[in-house]
Amino acid sequence: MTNRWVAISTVIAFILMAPIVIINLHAFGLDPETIDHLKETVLKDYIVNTLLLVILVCFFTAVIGVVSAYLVTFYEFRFARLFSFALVLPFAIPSYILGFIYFDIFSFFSKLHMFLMSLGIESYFDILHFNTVVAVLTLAFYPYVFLIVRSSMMKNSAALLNPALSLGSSRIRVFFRIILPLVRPAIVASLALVMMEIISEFGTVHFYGIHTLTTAIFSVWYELGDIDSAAYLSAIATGIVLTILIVDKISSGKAKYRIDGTSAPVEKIRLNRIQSFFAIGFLAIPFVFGFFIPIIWVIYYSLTYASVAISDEFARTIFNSFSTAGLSAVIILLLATMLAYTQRVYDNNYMRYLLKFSTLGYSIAAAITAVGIMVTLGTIDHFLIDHFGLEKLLLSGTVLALCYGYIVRFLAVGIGAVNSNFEKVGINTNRASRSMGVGLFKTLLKVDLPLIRGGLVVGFILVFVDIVKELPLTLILRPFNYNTLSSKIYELASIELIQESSLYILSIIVICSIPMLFSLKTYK
Amino acid sequence: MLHSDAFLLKNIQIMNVSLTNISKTFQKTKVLNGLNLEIKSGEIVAILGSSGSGKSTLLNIIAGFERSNSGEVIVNDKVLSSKEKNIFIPPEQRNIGYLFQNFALFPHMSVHSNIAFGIKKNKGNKRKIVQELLGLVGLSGHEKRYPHELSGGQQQRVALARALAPSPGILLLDEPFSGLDADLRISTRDEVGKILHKANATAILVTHDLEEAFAIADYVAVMHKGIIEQIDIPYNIYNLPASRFVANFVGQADFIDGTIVAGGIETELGLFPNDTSLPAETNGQLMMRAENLFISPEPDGEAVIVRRSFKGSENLYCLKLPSGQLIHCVAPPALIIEPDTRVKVDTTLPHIMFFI
Repeated sequence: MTNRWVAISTVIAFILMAPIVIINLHAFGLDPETIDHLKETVLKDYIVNTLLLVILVCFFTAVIGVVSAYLVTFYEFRFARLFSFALVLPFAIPSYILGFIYFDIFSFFSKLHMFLMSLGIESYFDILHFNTVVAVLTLAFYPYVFLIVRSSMMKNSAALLNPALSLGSSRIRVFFRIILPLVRPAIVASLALVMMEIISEFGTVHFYGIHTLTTAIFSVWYELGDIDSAAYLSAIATGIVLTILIVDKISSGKAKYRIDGTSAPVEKIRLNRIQSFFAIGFLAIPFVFGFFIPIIWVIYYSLTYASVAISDEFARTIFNSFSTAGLSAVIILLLATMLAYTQRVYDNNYMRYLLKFSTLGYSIAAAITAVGIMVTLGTIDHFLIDHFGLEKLLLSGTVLALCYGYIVRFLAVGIGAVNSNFEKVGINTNRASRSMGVGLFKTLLKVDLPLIRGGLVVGFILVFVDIVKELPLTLILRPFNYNTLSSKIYELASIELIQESSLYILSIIVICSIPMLFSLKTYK
Repeated sequence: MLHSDAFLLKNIQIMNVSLTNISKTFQKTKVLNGLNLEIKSGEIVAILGSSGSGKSTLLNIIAGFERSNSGEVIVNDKVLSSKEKNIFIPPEQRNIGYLFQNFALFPHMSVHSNIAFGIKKNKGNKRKIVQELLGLVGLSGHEKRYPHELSGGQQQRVALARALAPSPGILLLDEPFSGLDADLRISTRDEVGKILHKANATAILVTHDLEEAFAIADYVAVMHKGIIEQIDIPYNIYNLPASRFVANFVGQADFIDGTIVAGGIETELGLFPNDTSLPAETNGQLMMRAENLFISPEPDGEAVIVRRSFKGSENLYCLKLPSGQLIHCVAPPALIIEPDTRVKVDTTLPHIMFFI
């Protein structure tokens, strides 16, 4: 009877994992000829492009993220406090939108470029370029590094910095010998997130014509309907992600330094005018290019196209986004609460692994999950048609399939929110209730849930926002002729109506800004 | 402050607790190592041990919050958990109350709701019981307050009332006073002790504080290396320790070399009566408590003062005996003797504790 909770959790986990497991298992039963064909032709390019993108973007995000976190944590200069908030703002703009906007901005220059070419002057503005993609993804993803490393610096290094300085070490030496080693686990963890984002990245990469594993999975499935190749590419991408996860695990396991006790605030050092100038200059680059210019573009064109863009279709798209994201987020929080509570109460290895297992959808490229769901639901549909005489596909290509995809992909966000709040509350109130003879379910309703209510609201918003901006999974799983904000923007962009999509873009950015308000609150 | 204890006295249950061969391993650390413990109904037992000795783990196993790797928990002949028989009764069906170190009051509920939470009665009866309990812990009139509006000591007493409300067969207390300030700790401790004794409750208290254990408990169980090293009344734990560990853990103890001879036990501080049955010429060590030694300056005394630590109500002296052995001794605060002074040592040992 006590294992009812564990049993239900197990069923949930398996339903969530089924698509990913099925698509990857499919890869093992492949006809060798398909594989050989892929290997001979394009596979190498896909892998090389993916890895090159990962290496370059990781390098740049690490430099920008770590240096800016260091500057705002340890130094005092004009706008330092402003920057420590402003540098998070690019998070409000999904990577593919940043890509579309810069495509539009550069195409202005490219007209200039054509003109210059016609006058016989050399090319400077080759926009459909690998480097542009690297720059766009860097601007989109560096806030991960900035946020995680900054919080680690504030927590850990502050306590050791004052002793080190009092021992007479120089600032440079302190940075390399003390701060950097201490925040290394945070850097690795944030880069692991960045890597997964890059591998999962679809919009910008596809739009700029770069072929990576994810775009290839999308193309072979969407354009060619080739499940076998999609499964094979998925297995490779999954392998890469699992490797990253394992390396991250090992690396953070070995370097678990944590300073105990409340650390005194760091005595910030005042920069002189010249130093301040360089610091501000450095911090301004990611802010201006990652947020300021794009937001001006969006506001300008939203105003220009407002009268034509506000239409029934706009309203329908907004409604679609809100209803699918809202429904999925509610289900995610229900499932997350169920799983996290079971893990909390039965704290054992089985539940720990079950939770890791059921949240894999967040690490693995969204396109893989999507194709996996198509294959799984397609199989069920055909089974129903063959054996129960159903006339048409019951599940494939429905809003429910789309929500299923969102749930698999973003359950991890919900579990993270619920778990962190459970941890804050502690286990003792739960135990107190049970020692008074109150059962698990009633304890959940009367003690645990009321105590994490605020956390559930925040969790809902985080999940909701993630779903609204999701692109590749939406493109693959949405019903025919059904658009959410993200898929609508993509459709307009692919017929080069980027400026006309600006109101849709503005809507997404506004929704994505909601979580920033929380960080602004905690920041104050 | 005890207004009413009718409720509790009505609800006394006979509860014998029996723990056999309890083991628990975390990762690779063996925290409990085949522990055995018997507690009779109405007894208050303090489990005394250093931090990390597995005391809290033991309570969690009795309460059902954790599962042991081996062994049985039996209350009144009912098996609550047994690894061997594959029995595990969840905490909510054990009827065992628990008082947490940080009180763990429900912050979103009033004092009344907190206490009424575990009472399975109709509304009118609930109110009556809550009133009685609030009276018992001296907080009548506070039922509408919320936990954050109460002082630490008041929260502690609400937590106690809440734990007693479902009239548990056994009450477990996990370091219940360590969350309180020093001055509040002693008064609350004495009050809780009174309430528990009045209620004739069977209670197991876990603490690392010797004084707390001695003040509240009928029996003190000293825990060491995952087992109960000794369980006895406080006087015996202090004066008749079963091992050198217990002797040291419950107070300042020194051990001087001694040999069994015809007339007693011979040491460098003289001959002591021998109440052991050990044969002559057995070598061992005799336990000396600091308060049983008396020093006075004397030019040809056998010991030399090494250092004096002023403790306020007393002076703690460290002496060097002719053999080089260091030994401690307390003296009145006014008796100040400078280091390197020779002193004469007198002893009056209430019990002869000879360890071989």
